[in-house]
Order: sequence, then structure tokens, then C-alpha cells
Amino acid sequence: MLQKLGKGDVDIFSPHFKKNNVVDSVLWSSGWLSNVIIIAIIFFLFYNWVPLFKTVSPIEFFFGTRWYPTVTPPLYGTLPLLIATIEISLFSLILTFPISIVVTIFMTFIAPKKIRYLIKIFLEFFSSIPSVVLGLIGLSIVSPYLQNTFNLDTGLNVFNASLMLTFLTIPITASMMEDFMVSFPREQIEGAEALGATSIETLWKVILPGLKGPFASIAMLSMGRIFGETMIVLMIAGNAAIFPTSIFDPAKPLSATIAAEMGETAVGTPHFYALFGIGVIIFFITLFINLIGESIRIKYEMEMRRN
Amino acid sequence: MEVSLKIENLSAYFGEKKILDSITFDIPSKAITAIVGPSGCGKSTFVRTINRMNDRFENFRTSGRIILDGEDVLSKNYPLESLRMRIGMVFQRPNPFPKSIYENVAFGLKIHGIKDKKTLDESVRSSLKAAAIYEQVKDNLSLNAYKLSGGQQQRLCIARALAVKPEVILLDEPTSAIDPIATKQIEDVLEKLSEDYTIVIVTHNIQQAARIADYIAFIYLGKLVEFGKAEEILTSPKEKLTNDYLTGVYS
Amino acid sequence: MNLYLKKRLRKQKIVFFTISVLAILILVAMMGIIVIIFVKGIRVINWKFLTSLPSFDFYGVPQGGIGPAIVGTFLITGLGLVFSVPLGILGGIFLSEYRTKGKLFNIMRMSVANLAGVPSVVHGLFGMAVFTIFFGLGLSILSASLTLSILALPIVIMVTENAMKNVPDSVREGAFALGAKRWQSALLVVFPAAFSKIMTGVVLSSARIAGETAPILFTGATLYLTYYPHGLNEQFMALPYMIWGLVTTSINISASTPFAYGISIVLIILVAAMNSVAMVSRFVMRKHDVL
Ligand SMILES: Nc1ncnc2c1ncn2[C@@H]1O[C@H](COP(=O)(O)OP(=O)(O)OP(=O)(O)O)[C@@H](O)[C@H]1O
Ligand SMILES: [Mg+2]
Repeated sequence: MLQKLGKGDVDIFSPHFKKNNVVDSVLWSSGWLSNVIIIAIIFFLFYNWVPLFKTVSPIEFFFGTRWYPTVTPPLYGTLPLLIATIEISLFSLILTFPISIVVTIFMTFIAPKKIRYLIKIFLEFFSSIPSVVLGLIGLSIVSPYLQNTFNLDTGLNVFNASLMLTFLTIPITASMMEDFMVSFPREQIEGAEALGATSIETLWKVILPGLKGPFASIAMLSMGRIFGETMIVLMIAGNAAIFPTSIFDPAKPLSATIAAEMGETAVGTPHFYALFGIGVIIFFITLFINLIGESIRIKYEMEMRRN
Repeated sequence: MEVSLKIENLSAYFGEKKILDSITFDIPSKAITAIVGPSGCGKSTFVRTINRMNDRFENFRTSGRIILDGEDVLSKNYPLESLRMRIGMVFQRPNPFPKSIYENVAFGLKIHGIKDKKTLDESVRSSLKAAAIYEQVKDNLSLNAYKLSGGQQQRLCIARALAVKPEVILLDEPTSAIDPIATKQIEDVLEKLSEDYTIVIVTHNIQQAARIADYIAFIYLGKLVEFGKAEEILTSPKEKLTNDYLTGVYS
Repeated sequence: MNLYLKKRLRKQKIVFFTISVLAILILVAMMGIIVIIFVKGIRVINWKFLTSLPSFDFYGVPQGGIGPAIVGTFLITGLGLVFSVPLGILGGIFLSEYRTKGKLFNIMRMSVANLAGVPSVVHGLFGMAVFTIFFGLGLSILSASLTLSILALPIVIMVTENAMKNVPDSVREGAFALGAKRWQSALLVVFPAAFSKIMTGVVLSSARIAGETAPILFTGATLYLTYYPHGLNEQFMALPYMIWGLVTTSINISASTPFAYGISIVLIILVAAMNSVAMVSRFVMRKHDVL
């Protein structure tokens, strides 16, 4: 989640924390717990991945174009899975981002206060609906509809998965956007209005350009969330490890592969190690995406503070 | 005149900016000393330096000494906890804890290790009495302090400061956020308290200084311009700057 | 000039109208999803559905109920919170009350954000590697709830940090001015002031934890139990996992789908209930005006 830097956020406590007593130390250790867990996650992912390279070369693992873990000899190329994930995530982000902006503008600029409040509550509620429920909708309603309407082989495909992922991410994306929109500096808005700008002009020429930074970081954070989402893609991406060439092709994203195949494999087999390898890929790519998002946000906040 | 705090050549900085410039004077014991001066001249910084509240700011530095009982309270080894037990503080906006009235007043004692219920009860009662709020709240000590009016909250904060039995009480514009009637009540409380405590009050309001202060220190741009008995400062200031300030040139 | 202004205002009207239509469409679609779920699933919901053990007839049509899944979801969510809330609160207190500008501190804060961004399927892998295999807890309620607690930890930390930061600084100064140490101000003054807000946040995030599926896939969830678990070392059923199982692995998917919708309704009601609890407590807090 994004959090804005508050007034008291810097400088308010003495610079060098010294552990003075037991309570301080307990709190200090709890503060570090997340860090320890991250390191443990990295360790255990690698620990269960590295043995794979006794049988499979890293080149083949990262760049192999075929993921056939059950044929003999098995093939563990993750490239099609990665491409599928990227395709689905990007497509879903392309849907999510503008829709969220539209919803946000509607909430902050157009809807009366009461309605806006209701929408906020609704979005908060909708964002906590489990993704498996959206998967169910995609599977049993959207899929047959797509199949019949567009005369496809299967309605379980990139488009369907992206669409349901979009429903999953709109609420959080829109509410992050709304937070920034609401806390946009009043003086700048009033400055524009004092020059006779209409609301829409203020929005277009002052607010949205001013929010480029936060919106970019929101895009990254939404992307990070979409990238690792599992249940929706597991249920409705189509589960076919091919390179999807059209959005109506089925696909098999990284996360779905782990979820679908972990149950069928035995601990200590190359397949098992390869699935942890996929975990490594997901972990580091989401970490990377989130770090970019965070750093954009921090840069923006620095600028804000300077002004 | 008995001296409570000796301020010796005190300067204070926020980063590069010098906020207080070589201030030297003695704060008399068991009297009310008012710190006056135009906005931004460093009054708050001055009192917050005395009990070292400003130590929290990373870029805050001081030089000079503040002597309490022969010891320099600005020295790094001076334990903050005991300093703040000896020098209490009341802020501009009432800042009670979101707890019951009783817990607010007992807090200082509790954190300093006093657990005995009788002692706590007694101290809460006498502190509330001294802050002239006991009669209004005695039947409802478990009421959340946020339910009190602004003036009551401020008197509660005074009671809270009194409970740990400090020698000095610092007040930073304690009445600027509350109404005139409550202001009067607080002024009465302070006059009464000055029989037993050294009181340093920052005020914007010359009238308030005239009403309650025994001594007045006038600060301008971080420098002490003049310090002396209240009547003398108010009726025949030695410095032109003081005179200008009193006659309203700066406000 | 006047004409020009008129034109601009007309443009504004058109744009706002278009935005409104689009926004309303999307919101209606989202509401539509919920309506559809209720329409499709409401008829399977009855007392027996909620309380009895699951069973299937000869043709793979589900007959029984979801009792063990409800119990399982409550168990793992509750235990997950029991493990994560105390630690998360302590960590959040540190982040809020011991703030510095130091590098180490920034790393600490970054780690929390990064842990919060770890995808749940990775949590599932980690939980399996550590709790199920390394610590030998096997496929069990304990493994799954420990896994969920790691997922919940950064959420609780952030909830606590934000709630504590909302307490005005003047309150801290009041404590410091009385000679309170940092931890005394944090634990005795600021934390109690932020407590109800923290709890509200925890309730809200527990809804999210209850709906997670990927972390329990390989740590102990099972699709079919004919009894209620007797101990924390046994496998369990869970509502979200059961939805997945019914529509992807059962022999008679079309007969199972209404069941999946029924479970979805239960989950949605659960989520709505937690949201309402949070909303009401926010409202009460505002009314009592205690921060
Ligand atoms: N935390 C801080 N960091 C940097 N500068 C500060 C800080 N606090 C105060 N200052 C600066 O110190 C100077 C004196 O401030 P101070 O609050 O002591 O004045 P004051 O006399 O109390 O004013 P007022 O009557 O408005 O309360 C001001 O210029 C202010 O900008
Ligand atoms: Mg001041």
C-alpha cells in the first residue's frame, strides 16, 4: 500500500537510536523481523531450486521454450510461462489503469459527497472479495460467453484472465489514486481556478500532470500485484504452456504453473526444484517491480517536501 | 531574590540558523517570569531548551549552560528523565492523553515507579485541586480527558505536570488556544502556584504578563533585550526596543 | 470571450458526462458480479449446507455441506492472526515511534513494504519449504496458519504504523515532558490511543487472509474431509480452496458449480461482515471523538 509522508515524518526523533533496555530491544527486533523473513524466503527458494542444475542447465531453464515436465526426458523451459505472465499482466494493467482513473475522477470530481462515500465503501468491500470468487465467475460465466460469442476453441484464455484480474485490481488502484487526488495541494488547484480554469481544465492541466509520479508508482504497485496473482490465472488462463500469440489464446502463467503442478510432483524431484525456480522468478520480478514503484514514490515525496 | 535557574550565555541553533543568541539571566525562584517578544523570536525555543524537549530534533544544537542546583542541565550526562521530573511543561494546545482524567494525572508518577494506590490517589487529588479543576471532575475521574472543555483540559495538563512535584513549570502560551474565562481561571491558578513553584510562562500577550508576571524577559530576534521586575519593564523600560514592543510597534 | 467560455463549459459537460457513464458502467458491472453470485448460489444455502459434512452421490453431485470448510477457514485465519498480530504490532510500534533518518531504518521500512508485496504463491512455496518440510510440521493446520501469519505480518505492521502515526505528536511531547522514556510513550500512551484503529485494520485484513488460497494449497488444505479435524497437526478444508476444487477437479462440474457459488456467498458475507465491523467501529470512534 502507498502511504503518504505525514508532517511529523522526518526529523522528529533523535537521529541515532540507542537500545536502552529490554523493551527497546524487543521492539527493535520485531522491526527487523520482516527483513529476516525476506532473507529466509530467498534462502529457501534457492535451497529448493539450485539442485535443479544437476540435471538442467540454467540457459535451458530461463530460455528454454518448452515446459513439458511430464514427458521423457522432461523439459523445463520457463520462457513461455514468463511470456504468458507478462502478456496477461500488461494487458490487465492496460485495462485497469484508465478504468481506475475514470472511477477516481468520477468519485472526486463528479459524484456528490454521499455517493462518493458509498463508492469508497463499496470499493473497499469489493477489494476484499477473494480472487478465487472472481476466478469462478471467469470460469463459469465469462468463459462460455467468450467461447460462443467469438467462436473460440476455449473461453479460458489471456483475455478472460486479464479481465478478471482487472476487476481484482480496480478497487485498490482506484482507492490509491483517490488518496493522492484528495491530498493534492489545494493552493495549486486554487491557483488554477483563480485564473478562471474550469474544473476539467484544472484536472487536465494541473492535477493529472502533478500526479504523474504517484500514478506511475501506483501503476507499478498494481502491476506487482497482478504479476503474482495465482488463483484467477490458475482457473481461467487456459493452462496451456504455449506462447500466446493472440489475447484469445490460452496460456500458462508462472504462478498458475506452480499451483497446478506442485500437487502432482514429489519432493526432491527435478520438477519440484523447477517449480521453486519459478517461485524465484516470480519473487524477484515482483520485488523489482515493487522497488521501482517505491522509488518513484519516494522521489515524488522528496519533491513534494522541497516545495 | 533566590535563583532557580541560571541561564549562562545560552545559544541555540536549528541547523545553521541561530535561534537564540547568548542569553544570560537568572530565573528567580518561586515567582512568575514571563517571556515576551514578537512572533518567531525564539520564545518557544527558549523554554523548550530548558527541559531539553528540542533534543528530539536532529539538527538542534546548543551552547552555554543552564544551571539548576549547581548542575548544567544541558550536559549530555544529565539524565533527561530526572530533568523532566524537576522541570514540568505545559504546552500551547492542551495535550491530555486519550485516557481517563485519573490516568492522565497519575501517569507521571506511574512511569517513575510509584505503584501504591493510596499515594497515587492522594497525589491525583491534590494535583487536581492545585490546578483548580478538582471540584468539576471529582465525581468522574474515569471520564476520558478528551471529553473535557479546552480550558479544563489545559488545567488537567497543569495538574498532570504538578503531580510529579517539579520545582519549575514551563508554560508555552498556555492560554492562547482557550477562551477568556478559562484564561482567567488559569491565571489565578498560576498566581497561586507561584507561591511554591518557579513558573516560566511564554506569552504573546502583554496584558497577561502585566496581570500575573513578577519578572519579565523580553526577547527579540533570539537576543535577550531586557530582563527585570515586571513593573519596571512595563512602566519604564531601559531599552528602546522594549518600549517599541510594549507600545505595539511590532504587533 | 463569453462565447469561448461557453464552449469550454460545454466541453467540460461532455467530458464529465462521458466519464460518469463509464464509471457508472464499471461500478454496475462490479455490483453485477455480486448479484450474479447471489442469484446462482442462493438456492443451495440452507442450514444443512452450512453445518453438515460434505458428500457426493454416485454421479458426483454434491449432497452435503461445507461445515468442515467453514471451521477450517476460521481456524487457519484465527491462528494466523494469533501468530502475526502481536509481532506485527511490536514491529509497527518500532517503525512509528523509533523513526530515524538512518539508512538501516530505511532498509527496515523497505523490507516491510517488500514483504507485503511478496505474491501469495511464493508464500505458499516458502511455507511448504519451511513449515511443512524443514520443521516437519507436515500438511497441517499449523503449517497453513503459520504460512498465513507470515503473509499477514507486514499488513499488521503497516496497519499499526499508520494508526500510531495518526496520534498527534503533541501527545508524545506530553509524555516526554513528564520524563517518559521512548518505550513508555510508545506503549503506555500512543499505543492505547491507536488501539481501536489498529484493531479495525486487523479485522479488515483478516478478511483478506480468510480468502487466500495459494498459501494453503501446499501446506495442508484438502478438498474432502468426512470429519472435523481433531488437532492442529491434521489437514483441513477451507472455503476458497473448496470453490476451486468444486469447479476444476470434481467429476460433475456442472452439478458442483452452484455449490461453488453458495460457498462464494458465504465468503462474501464473511467479508461484508468484517467490513461492517470495521465501518461501525470507525463510526463509533469518530462519534466519541477519541482521536
Ligand atoms: N523544529 C524546527 N526546525 C527548524 N527551525 C525551527 C524549528 N522550530 C522552530 N524553528 C525556528 O526557530 C525560530 C524561533 O521559533 P520559536 O517557535 O521559538 O518562536 P516563538 O517566539 O515561540 O514564536 P511564536 O510566538 O510564533 O510561538 C523560528 O524562526 C522557527 O522557524
Ligand atoms: Mg512559540
